[in-house]
Formats: sequence, C-alpha cells, structure tokens
Amino acid sequence: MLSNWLPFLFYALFAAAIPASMIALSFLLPKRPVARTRQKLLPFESGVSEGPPDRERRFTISFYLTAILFILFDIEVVFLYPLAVRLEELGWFGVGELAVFIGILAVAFVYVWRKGALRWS
Amino acid sequence: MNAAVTGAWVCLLAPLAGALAITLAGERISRRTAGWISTLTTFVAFAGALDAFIRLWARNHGDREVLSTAYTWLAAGDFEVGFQILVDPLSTVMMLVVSGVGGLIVWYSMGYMAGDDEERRYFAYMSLFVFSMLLLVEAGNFLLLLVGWGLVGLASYLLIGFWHERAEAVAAAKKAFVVNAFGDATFALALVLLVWETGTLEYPSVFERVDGLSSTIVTLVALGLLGGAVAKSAQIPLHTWLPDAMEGPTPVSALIHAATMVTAGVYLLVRTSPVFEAAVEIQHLAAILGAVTLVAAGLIALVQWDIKRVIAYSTMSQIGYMFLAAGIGAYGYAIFHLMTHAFFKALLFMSAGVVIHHLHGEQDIRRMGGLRAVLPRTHVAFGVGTLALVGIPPLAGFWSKDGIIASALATGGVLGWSLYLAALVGALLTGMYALRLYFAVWQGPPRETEDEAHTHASGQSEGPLSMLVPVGVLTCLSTIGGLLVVPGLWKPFEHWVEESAEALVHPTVAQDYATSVVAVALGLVGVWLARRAFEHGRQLVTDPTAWRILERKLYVDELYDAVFYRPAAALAVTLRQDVEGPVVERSLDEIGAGTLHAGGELSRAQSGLLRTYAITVAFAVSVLVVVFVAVR
Amino acid sequence: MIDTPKVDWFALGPTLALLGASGVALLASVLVPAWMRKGVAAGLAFLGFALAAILGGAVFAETASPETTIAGSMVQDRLGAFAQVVVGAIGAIVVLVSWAEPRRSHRGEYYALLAAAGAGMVFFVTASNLMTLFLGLEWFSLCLYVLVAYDTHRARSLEAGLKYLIVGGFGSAILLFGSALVYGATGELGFAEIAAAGAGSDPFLVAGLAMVLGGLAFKVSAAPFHMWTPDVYQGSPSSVTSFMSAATKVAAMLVLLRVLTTAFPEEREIWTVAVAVLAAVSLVWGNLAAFAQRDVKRLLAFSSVSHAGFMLVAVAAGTEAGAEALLYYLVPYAAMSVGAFAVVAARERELGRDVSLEDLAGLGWERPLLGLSLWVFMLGFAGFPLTGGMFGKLFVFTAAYEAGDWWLVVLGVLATAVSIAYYLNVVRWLYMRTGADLGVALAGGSPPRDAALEVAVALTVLVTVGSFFAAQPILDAAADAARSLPF
Repeated sequence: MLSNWLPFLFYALFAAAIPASMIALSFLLPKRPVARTRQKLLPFESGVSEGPPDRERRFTISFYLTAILFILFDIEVVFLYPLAVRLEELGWFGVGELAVFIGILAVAFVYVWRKGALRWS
Repeated sequence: MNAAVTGAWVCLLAPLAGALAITLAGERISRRTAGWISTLTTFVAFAGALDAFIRLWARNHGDREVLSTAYTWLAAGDFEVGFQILVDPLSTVMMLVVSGVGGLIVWYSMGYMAGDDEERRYFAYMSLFVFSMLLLVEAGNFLLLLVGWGLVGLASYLLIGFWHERAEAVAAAKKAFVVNAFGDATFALALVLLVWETGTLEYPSVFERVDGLSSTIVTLVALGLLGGAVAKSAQIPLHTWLPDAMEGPTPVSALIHAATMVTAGVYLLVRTSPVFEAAVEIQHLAAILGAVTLVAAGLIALVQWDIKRVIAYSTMSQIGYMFLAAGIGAYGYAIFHLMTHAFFKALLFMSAGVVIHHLHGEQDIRRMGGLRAVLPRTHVAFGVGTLALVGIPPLAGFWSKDGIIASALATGGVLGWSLYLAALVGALLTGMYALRLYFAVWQGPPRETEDEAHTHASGQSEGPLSMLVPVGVLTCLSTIGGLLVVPGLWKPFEHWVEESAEALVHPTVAQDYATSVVAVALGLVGVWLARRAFEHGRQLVTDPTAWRILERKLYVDELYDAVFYRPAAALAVTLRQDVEGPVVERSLDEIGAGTLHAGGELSRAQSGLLRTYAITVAFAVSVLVVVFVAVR
Repeated sequence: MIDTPKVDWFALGPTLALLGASGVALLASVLVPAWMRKGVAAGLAFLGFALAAILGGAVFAETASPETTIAGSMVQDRLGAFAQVVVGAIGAIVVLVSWAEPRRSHRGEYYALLAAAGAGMVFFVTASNLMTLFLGLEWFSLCLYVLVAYDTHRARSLEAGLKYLIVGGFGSAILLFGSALVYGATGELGFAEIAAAGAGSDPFLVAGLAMVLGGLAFKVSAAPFHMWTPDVYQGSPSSVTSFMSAATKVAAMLVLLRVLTTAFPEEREIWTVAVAVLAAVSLVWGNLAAFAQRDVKRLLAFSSVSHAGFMLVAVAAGTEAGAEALLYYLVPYAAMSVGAFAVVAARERELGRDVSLEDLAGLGWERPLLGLSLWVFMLGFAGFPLTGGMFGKLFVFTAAYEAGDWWLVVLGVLATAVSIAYYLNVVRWLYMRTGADLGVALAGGSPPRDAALEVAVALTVLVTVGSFFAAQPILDAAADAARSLPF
C-alpha cells in the first residue's frame, strides 16, 4: 500500500530539495567580500541596484497592462477548445454554458474597454 | 392573571418605565421632573410590592408561591425557560425593601443631586438600577436571575462612575465591574452545570432534582453560586471593590452599597438554600467567609479616615453577619438582618450625605467635629443609626443581629462556637468603630474654619425637605423596625420568610436572651473604649505596624495586583513588544530599509514580517500533521 | 453522449443574485454617467445582498433534508441556507456602512467587488466537495485581497493587501495540499464519499485532514493562524474590515464545521481535540493581546480572534448541540462585529486617521447614537445580558460541557471575565472626557450626518439586542440547520 506513495515521496523530496539547495548554495558558493564596501553589500537584482525598491516610482503601465490582459483573456479563451470539441455531444446544455462563460468574459471586457485600459497612450 | 402577581409585575415594570421615560424625554423635561418621575415610579413599584404582599398574606399558609410566566423564552424539548417571576414570601420581602428603601433614597437624591449638570442621566440610572434589582429578586428562574444579576452590575458600574470626569470614580467603577464579572463568571458556570445536570432552570424543579445529583456536581454548583454571592456582596476575598466604590455619589452608596445590591448575595444564598443544603461544606464555607469578613472589615474600619469608607467597611462587616446566618441555615434572621440593615445603613449613609453636603464635599473625618450644634436633627438621625448598628436595644439592629449570634450558638460544635466567638468579637468591634466615627464627626470642638462655620450657621443648613423627610422616615424604621421579631413573644417575620426557606437552626429563648446580654455588653465595651480613646485624643489602634497593615486593607489589593494583574499585564505587554512588535508591526518599508543594512541587522530586520507569519503557519500545520499522523 | 449534470437554479439562486449584481454593478461603474455610478453600483450591491438573503431564506424554507446537486459539487441544505441569509444580511448592512466612505476613484467597482466577494461566500458555504470548497475559498479571497488594498493612497492599506495576499495564498496552498492528500488517500472529492471511503487511519488521510483544518483555521483567524488578522483588519478600509470580520468568519466557520462533520466523522476523536486546542490557544492569545492594544481596530481584531476561540469551542464539541450553539453564536456576533467596525469607521472619517482608544474620547457625547451602540456591542462581545452575546456564550458552554470539554468551559469563562476589562476600557474612553478636553479636533468641523451608517448601526444594535429577546426563533432555525449535518 505504502509503495504506491513512493512517487509522491520522490516528488516531496525534490520539492524540498530544490529550494533547500538554492539557499544552501547561496551560502556556500559566494565568498564574502573581503573589503566590505557599501557597494559590495548591496543586494544585486537584475541590474537594478540603486537602493531599495521604490514604491512611488512610475514606469510605463501600458506594457504591463496590455500583457496581463492578454494573458487573462487568452487563457480563458483556451477553455473554449475542449468545449468546442465536445459541443456536439453536450448539445444545448453546452451552448448554454458557453453563453454564460462568454457573457462573464464580456462583462470584464466591456469594463476593461470602457476603463480605457486598452488605449495605448 | 393572578391578582397577587399583578402587583409584582407592576413593581417590576414601573421603574423600567421610569428609566425609559427619562431617557426618551431627554432634554424636553426639566431636571426636577426627571427626579420626580424616578421617585414616583419607584414608589409605584413599592405600592405594587405592597399589594402583592398583602394579597399573598391573605392566602393560605403553604399556598404562597406563585410562578407567573409572561412569555416562553426558550423551549427545546422538555427544557423550557420563560420570562417568569416568582412571588413568594421571600421575594415579596425583598421587593418591599428594594422599592421602599430605594424610593426613599431616590427621593433623597433629588435634594442631594440638585444642581448637578447631569441629573437626568443620574435618575435614569437610578431607575435602571432599581429595575435590575427588582428583576434579580423577582426572577422565577436561574436564567432571569443571571440577567438581573448582570444588569445590577452594569447599573452599579454606571452609578459608581457617574462622576466620569473624576479618574478615581471611573477606575473604581471599572474595578467594581471586573470583580463582579468574576462572580458573574462563576455564577454562569454554575448555571451551565445546573442546566445540563438537571435539564431545567426553574427554581422549584431545580430544587427538586438537586438531591439526585452527584455530590461533586452539587458542590461545584454551590461553589459557583457562592462565588457570585461573595463578589456581589463584597465578602472576603472579593471585597476589594466596595471601599473604592465610595467614589460614587452618596445616595448611590446608600442604595447600592448598603440597602440593596450588596445584599443580593445574601438573597442568593437564601433563595438557593436547597442547593447549599445539599452541599453542606460550601454552606459552611459561606458562614466562615462571613465570619472572617465581619471581623476583618470591623478591624479595617477602625483606621479609616473617610466617613463613607468607615460606613462601607461597616457594611461589609454587617453583610458578614448575614452570610454567617445564611451559612448556618438561619435564613429568617439573615433576611431580617438584611432588612434592618437596609434601614439603618441607608440612614447612616444619608445622614453622612447631609454632612458631606453641608461641608461641600468634605469626607475626611479629621476635618469634622462638633457638628452636633450645627446639624442637630441629622445628629439625632445619625445617632439612632449608630446605635442601631451597634445593636443597642430596642433599636432595629439589636433584634436581628442577636438572632444571628444566638443561631450560631444554637448550631454548636466547633464550627458553631467559632462562629459564635467571631460574631461576638464583631459586636465589640462594631461598637468601637461606629462610636469612633460618631465622636469624630459630632462631638468635640468644631474644626471648621470660622468663615465656613459662619456661612453654614446662617441659612438652611440641613438640606432641603426632600433630604430630610427620607432621613426622618428611615430614623423611625431604624427605631421600630426590629420589633417584628421579639424572641419568646412573636416572630411573624421569621415565620414569613421561612415559608420560602425552612431554617435549619432555631435558637431557644434562653439562648437568645443570654446572647443578647453578652452581645450588648460587648457592644457597650466597644462604645466605652471608643469614648475613652476620644477623650484622650488618641486612636483605637495605637500600634503603628497594626495600623499600617489595616490601612492597606490587609494587603489584599496588593496581593491581587501581584498575582493576577501584573502577570497578565506583563504577558500582554510582552506579547505586544516581543512578539507582535517585531513580528507584526514592522511595515513593509522596513524590509526595504533593512536591505540597506549589512550583515546581522539585515537578517534581523527581515525576520520581522511575512516570513515569520508563513513560518508560524507552516510550523503550526506541521505540528498538526505530525500529531494527527502520530495519534491516528 | 455525455451526462450533463442537472443545474439546480433554485439552489444556486443566492449565488447568482450576487454574481449578477456584481456584474451589472461593474458595467454600471463604466457605462452610467460618473455622478450616479456610486449610487447605482451601491444600490445594485444592496439589492443583490438582500435578494441573496431572501433566496437563502426561501431555500431554507423549501429544503427539508439536504440533497446534493450539480453532480455532487454542491449541497442544498438548511445549513448553507442559514449562512446565506446571514451573509446576505451582513453584506446589505456593509453596503450602508460603506456608503459615505470618502473615496476619489473607483467608487462603483468597490460595490461590484463586495458583491462578488459575497457571491463567493454564499457559494462557498454550499460546497460539498473539496474542489468547490477550494473554488469558493479562492473566489471570495481574491475579491477580498483587492478590497483590503482598496485605499491605495494609504500605505497601511497597501501593506495589509500585500500581507493578506501572500499569507492568504500560503493558507490556500496548505488547504489545497491537504485536499490533494485526502483525494490521494480516498480517491474521492465529495465530503460524503470521503467519509464513506473508509480510509480509516491512513496516514495521508489524517495528514490531509490536518492541512485542511489548518487552511480553514487560517480563514477563521484562529490562533496561531491569526497572525495576519490584526494587520489586515487595521489596514483595510473599515467597511471592508466589518465585512471580513463578520462574513468571512461566518462562512469559514460553517464550512469548517461542515467539512469536519461530513467528511471526517471517523476521525472525530482526533479533530475534536485539535479544534479544542486551537480554541484554547485563540482564547488565551486573543484576549491577552487585546489587552495591550491602543488602536481600536487592532483591539477588535484580537477580540475577533478570541471569538473565533469561542466558536471553535462549539465546533470542538463535535455534537449537534455544538453546531446549534455555533450557528446561534454567529448571528449576534456578526451584528456586533459589523456594528463595532462601523462606529470605528464613522470616527475614522471624522478624524481622517486611524482611531486609537484616545481618539474615542468624547464620542459618547458628540454622537450619542454611535456611542450608545458601541456600548451595546462591547457588552455584547463580553456576553452581557440583554444582548445575544450572553446566550451565545451560554449555549456554547453548555454544548462544550455536554461534550465533556469542561476545561474549555472553565477557560472560556475565565477568558470572558478577562475580556470584560478591555471591552470596558473602550466604553470608558467613550465617555471619559469630551473631545474638546483632549484637543481632538474634528477634521473640518462637525461632519455631516451619515444617515446610511446610522441606519446600519441601528440595525446591528437591533439584531444584537433582538437576538436576546427573540432567542427562540434563531435557536429553532439554528437547530433546523444543524440537523442537516450527519451527527
């Protein structure tokens, strides 16, 4: 019985090992800077190293907004594929479900549109 | 509806109507009208109580117990609780005392509080209090009793803290409430036990089923009830709130801390006597606590300087007598002393109020003296009250207190004799502190400054009529109120109460009179000691160590402070500072700021926040998982 | 041909009402003219909540015995309907509380989100398998994450939103992990099927149970899973706090009760003890920590933790009486909680900053209705007569005693006694001094009367006091609801 759970055990071990190894390696690998200058002690983050993250700083929202909206609608529309494949068998029930689903998406879409989130300026 | 019950309902609802009327009318009525509404509704309640009493009197012996249900509140299967009142000899006596003495005190307040900015609020609270107290004594089941019990605590909180701009008053109110809440808690626990074990909350059915319960359960229930009684009646060890509560207006002290609320514990002991009789150790514990309180409070009263605090300690001491009586099963005398005490203690408080009123709020007896000449009528009233308290025949206190002491003698055994001795020591102490107070206030040379005395001598000095008439009525009651029980002659009062709670001891006439001789003699010795001390200009307690111990009230406050309050407060503060502070309260900005710091500081700053939340949750879940898997 | 599940529109009614209201409100907040957006959206949300409560009532009346619908994913029973009525009523009152919240932008969307959160909750309480359970949980949680951070100009609100999101995600993950383990052990998702699978004491089943319990304990803010509560309650807009403290607790408590009793009846010995321990920790921690608070919302947050303790005492009984006690307890508790936070919200709007105890000084004189109401709520929290709080505690203790948890009764009574001190402290501040004495200047003079909020507070007082005098009907309903659980 317990042997059925062996894969699960492996999975759990892997799941634990990956973050653990990351933490361990970050302690083991880098040498502490000998000269502890301010610059060397700053955390390095994707090329941005000027002090702490600034809540107030603005950046062009359009990229972010458009991207996330794309992902949202894209992924939700993917749900239509399985429905389309089985629509014949599901009949009107499927059509109803489809309509409800599209309806909810439409509400969100109208909102996003009217809110001007799709305008690039 | 049964006729005897109508009066009782009127009695219960009239003060509530008064409180609501004053609240709703708000500024539309004058302050004086508010006072009259409160006074009159309380007297209407008294009339209702009188009506109920007379009609009950007219009934046959053994048929004087009427349960009246207004509506059914909770019903589940055969468990049923209604909004119901019980009219029986015990409750009618309590109704009469509460509404009668209460009415006089409310009336008196009209004079005493005249000119206070918030008289309307005051009278609304007073009516609310009288209602709550009547609910407590008329309740027909334990649930309603608990409701009344809690409301009484609330109303007293409001009244003690009435002068909310005074920090001490507010602190005192809170202390009273919290100590009482402890009592309420044990009371509620007892209630839960009772509901479950007997499946009912109505007095008669509970009392019927008490015998069928295991002795552990009965003991726990009795202990819980006793906890409530001890807190409400300010008996040791839950007595610390009463002296502080003297911060409230004087009529409030008369109403709450003399006549009604503090006696609720005694009422409870008598009302639930079948439970206590089934757990006789607890009943005896009540008697022992009473005895300890009556001696300790008498001692502490010897060293107090505040006129109201002396009377407050005297109240504790007298209630100690009532607990003693209820604890040995002398229910008739317990209630009898409750009534006479309501008369003479309200009288003492009210005449003290006249003095304080006259001296513009001065309460320190070191600055009083020689007032006999200035306030002659109040002097008589106070004198009668003092002598009644000491138990000098034929005043009210004599009959009731000696009945209690004689009952202790009649109980016999080690317990009976110990209680008897304590009660006698108490009688001696009563004589000492009561007369010490009397001499300090009334005799000797006047200690007021000249111009003060001057302004008082001219003009009306003893207060308005609304203050004097209630004082006069109570003076009469304190004089003759005790004649309802004269050993060997007639005992109508005792027989009346015993229809509700059959007494366990009946002192013989010989025991009664022998006790009287000893007790009165001791009281007189106390008087003599006080007089000698006064003449020689010294205090009754001369040893400085003893003085200090008594002055600190036997260090009970300090004990509670050290044992309960400080650890709890320290724990709370530690939780806040060491757990919550670093873990929770650091804002996100600090994470950002933290990244600027090097090395150890960085890790410490970051250990604050979300990570700790997550780790706590993860840890707790892991513990759950491990334990679940381990014990499955 | 695929079997299509029968969709029970009647059972879905409350959810659909709120979902519809949310959608229309969302559209309204972009389509109607700007000046009436807030009014339309608030009106729609109010109607949605009211309709949900009414439909919930209809479901309650029509459903004699529980039946699962929509392919076993949800159950139509009186327990769920009871919660729907309560949540609907809470939501409608919260709409009133929110009305005068000063807000410069996104005023319509607020109500859309509130209604959506409500929809999630009324769906959540009818969940009858682990999938819908998780779906419902995430549904309302996502809405709340946004609502908590709604006041973007206040750093505290943003901070609370972020903390709630991260820790909340963590809690959800634990729940999900637990569900996966349970599914792994039994091969079933439906609660009843899990119970019927008879996996006995499979280590993965009990480990899953522990995690499900932990995940839900997080939502009801039982200690030690409560760490987020004070921060989030303090940081959120007060109207959102009032909604969370009442509605989330009602929904999560009921679901906790439902999951434990329907899916894990075999493991009763384990979970009753675990819940009892959680209850004890919550009582101790909540009450002690509340003592040291100066901020009123934090104080109320810890009070909410301690009340979670009281409710868990009822759950720990593991009996029908316990379930009844819990359901009764929720009614006055929800009213007091919404009301208390509403009063704080009113003060916050006057002062324009977080309300500490000192800031309450004089409220009792300046606003008699609000002052008196807060009085009532504090006494109710403390379990005082004339409020439903008293019966709530009494029923809970009775149920616990009956189940043999006498030590919990003692602890609960002690906690009650301790709690009185800090509840009274609030009252003391209300009346202690007038605002002028302390120099608490009102922002911009005396603000206009907020009639909507006053109506809301009056309603909650009515329920708080009414649940004392009319305890029987509520108790009957609670008993009916509790009967739909398999005890």
